[in-house]
Amino acid sequence: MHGYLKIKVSKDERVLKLEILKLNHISKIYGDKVQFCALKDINLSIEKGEFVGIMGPSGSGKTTLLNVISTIDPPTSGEVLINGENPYRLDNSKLALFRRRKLGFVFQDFNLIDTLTIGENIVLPLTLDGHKVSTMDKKLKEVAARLNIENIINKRTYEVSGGQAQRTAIARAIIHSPLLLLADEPTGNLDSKAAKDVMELFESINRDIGVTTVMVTHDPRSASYCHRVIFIKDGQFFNEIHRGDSRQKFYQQIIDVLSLLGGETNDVFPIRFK
Amino acid sequence: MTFFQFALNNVKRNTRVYLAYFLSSVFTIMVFFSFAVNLFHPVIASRNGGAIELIMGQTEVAILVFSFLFVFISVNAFLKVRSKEFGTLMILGMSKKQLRRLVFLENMIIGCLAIIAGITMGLVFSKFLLMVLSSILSFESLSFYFPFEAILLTTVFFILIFLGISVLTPLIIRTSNIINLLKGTKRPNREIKFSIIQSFVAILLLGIGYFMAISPQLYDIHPFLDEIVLLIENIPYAEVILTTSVVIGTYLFFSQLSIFILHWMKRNRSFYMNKTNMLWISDLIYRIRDNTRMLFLVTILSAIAFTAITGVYALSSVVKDESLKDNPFALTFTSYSSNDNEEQQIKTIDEMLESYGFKYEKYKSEVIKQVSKGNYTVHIIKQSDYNNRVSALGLEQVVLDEDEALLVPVYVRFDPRRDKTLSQKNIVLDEGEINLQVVGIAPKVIFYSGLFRNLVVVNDETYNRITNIQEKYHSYSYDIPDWLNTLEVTEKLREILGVGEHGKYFWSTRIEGYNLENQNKKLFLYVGFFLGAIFFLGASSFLYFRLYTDLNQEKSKYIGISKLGLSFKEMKKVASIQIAVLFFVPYILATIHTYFAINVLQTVLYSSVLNQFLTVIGVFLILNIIYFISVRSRYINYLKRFIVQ
Repeated sequence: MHGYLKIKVSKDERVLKLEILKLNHISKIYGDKVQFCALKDINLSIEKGEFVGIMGPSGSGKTTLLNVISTIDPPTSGEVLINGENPYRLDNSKLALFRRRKLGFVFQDFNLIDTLTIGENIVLPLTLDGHKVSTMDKKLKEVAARLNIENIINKRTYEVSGGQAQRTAIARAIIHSPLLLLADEPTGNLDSKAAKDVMELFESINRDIGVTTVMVTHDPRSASYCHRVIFIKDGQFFNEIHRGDSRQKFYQQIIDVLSLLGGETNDVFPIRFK
Repeated sequence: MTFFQFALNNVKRNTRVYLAYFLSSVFTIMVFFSFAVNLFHPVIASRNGGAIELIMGQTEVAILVFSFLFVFISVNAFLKVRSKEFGTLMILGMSKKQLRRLVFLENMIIGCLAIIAGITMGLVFSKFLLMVLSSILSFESLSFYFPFEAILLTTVFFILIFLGISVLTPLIIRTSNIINLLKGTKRPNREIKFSIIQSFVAILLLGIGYFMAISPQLYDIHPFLDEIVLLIENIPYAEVILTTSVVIGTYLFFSQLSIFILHWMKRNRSFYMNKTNMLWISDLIYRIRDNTRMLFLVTILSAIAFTAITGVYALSSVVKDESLKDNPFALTFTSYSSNDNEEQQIKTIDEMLESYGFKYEKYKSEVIKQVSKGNYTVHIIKQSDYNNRVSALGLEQVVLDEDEALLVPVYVRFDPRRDKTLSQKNIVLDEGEINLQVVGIAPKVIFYSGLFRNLVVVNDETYNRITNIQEKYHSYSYDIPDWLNTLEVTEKLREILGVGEHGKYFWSTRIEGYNLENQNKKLFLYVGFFLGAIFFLGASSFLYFRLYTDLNQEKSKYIGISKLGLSFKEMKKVASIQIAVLFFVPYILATIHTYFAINVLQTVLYSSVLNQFLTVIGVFLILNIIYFISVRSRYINYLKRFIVQ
């Protein structure tokens, strides 16, 4: 079960795919006296344009893994390379700059800033980067049109639905064309209809703009939108499966692995589809 | 949206949070500015009226210190609530420098607006305050002037305060751990611990403080108690010890004792399990623990405000009483034997009083000053002069034998039991030629406070036998019923007689002392009132912030319980009890503190200040109730929108 993920190489081996994210032997240990090993020797490689899901039972370390990738939780050992660069080697101000320009984040509870309008929330990464107002307006228009939220741009956060709030968060995460889009349970707070919309949005953004996406989820239906799903258990690599042509089939595969994983029953949809 | 607009939006759209803070700041700045206008007023500045400048200058410093603390604590409270927001911003790539700039800009926006609003309102308000001040100081009228210096002073000082806080506070946000920031203010369900020993120490410290405060009143109840009281009196820095033990006791009261009491309520299962009791008790334990420092601060600030206002109010309302006791006569003229113009001077006084149409009674007494070889000074008055004098004061006449003496106190607040000169049993005059036995002590000052130390009344014959005479004074005391109007005539007489002449004569009036005291104490009342108001408003603002910042947690909790079947009425009851505890426990504790603090004040005053204390406490109670009702209704209306009904 000791995990080592092979670098996925294209069928045509002469075309070298660009590696956006690489994790080498990542371990994370919490605590001083009573130590708890959250991640154990995780290796992972993600290529440009991939849409990867991370799944696992509660407490398996999937959120820790995402935090390590997010550059906000340094690993105890191992190396994180994003676009060939180790962000943990950067000093604080450069790291902030790195996050601001290269990463996009989507959270379970949206994390919108309540004092700003929807439009202002979306342009926030550009504001932090000191862009011209005209650039912001132009980009906001583009991204809002793509996400179909033009009509709520001037509303405040408490005036929109959960689905709209998550669309806003996605718009904010991609307005600066990041290298890597990271999502932590993006559908966790949404009803099934809104979740479906959001996942279709992730899929279309990934397809159309080609933004590399890593998503943590415990919802097999959301995970079935990914190209590849990685399973971890007790902080270790467990399995990974690739999506074929059918999403429905992929969904069934995910359920199978999850039932193999055990974990909490309510994480897993018990009925099987054939 | 530029970065500045971002900061501006954060302030502009958060009025609900910032309103109480902003208004308190504006009020504080307004008072500071208005005092500065008073202080820099050309008339006052030119008079160089020492006391006024001192009192008001110190008040200004107190306001500044308070403002600094107020802004610091408020801003910290706001930042704590926003930790999730900061976490989000950091993960979006905000650098530490940008975060500092954001907090800085926000603070400066609010600060500058508060300064502008404070000064603007102050300009309107200071006209009114100038009128108050001129009536206090009995100046004709202090005209309005353009207070350039006051504006400059206020702006500079408050900019400095906001600037200092803006630089200081971002350092407090722990930006290094974004994960913790993102988790926000969520409270882990930890067990609340308390220490029985520390709870006991809380009671002990409060007890010690209170006992020290009232110890002078406990004298003469029991000999053993007396010894303790005297012991306390001799402790160096007793005031510092008293204050410290009450302050620490208050802190422990909130951090330990209150939790202990709630735990005790919890142990009483039939009470605890009764309906909603369980809800509010278990929740209150967490809320008190989370708000220990705030409750402590509110209590101390309120106690200071109550004490300051009661103190100045009491002082200003007892001035007349005190002057009457200090100066039993409206005017007392004392002449040395070497004064050749004595008769002429008395005539001048008589004529002047008559020309102003005052009715008066004049009492003349002779007083001998004797200095023994041991350098012990005694003043002696004969029985007939004493009886004549006290007839005006409504005291009992005395009849003394040849070897008897009556002691007369020199100060109003005398304590024969502890005053060594008044506790002597025998008086020796003329180096042992005359031996007198003390038969009693006169109940009152008979000249005026401070005149004729070690005064002894003796039988007329004994008086005539005295040979060792250092000085023989003639003292004329005037009883003028209409003394309150004697200021003008006194000023006229001062033009002629001056303050006196060394070795010849001197004189004193009640009206001058009264006037000076009156002015000072009204001035105290004036500044004390505003200081108290600022402190109280600040303390109330803290409560408001805390309730507001807890609201989100409360919301999810009440939504959960309402789904289980908690009715709106019950929710209202639970929330009301909790808010009431947070509002009124500090108030009650502050009131008790004030009561004992006033007791310390009481020892230096002649008249009781209980009425003033009750008035002040009553007014604050009403204010507190109004504040409580309005906050409670806002709070409940907010929760009402979310809970299942």
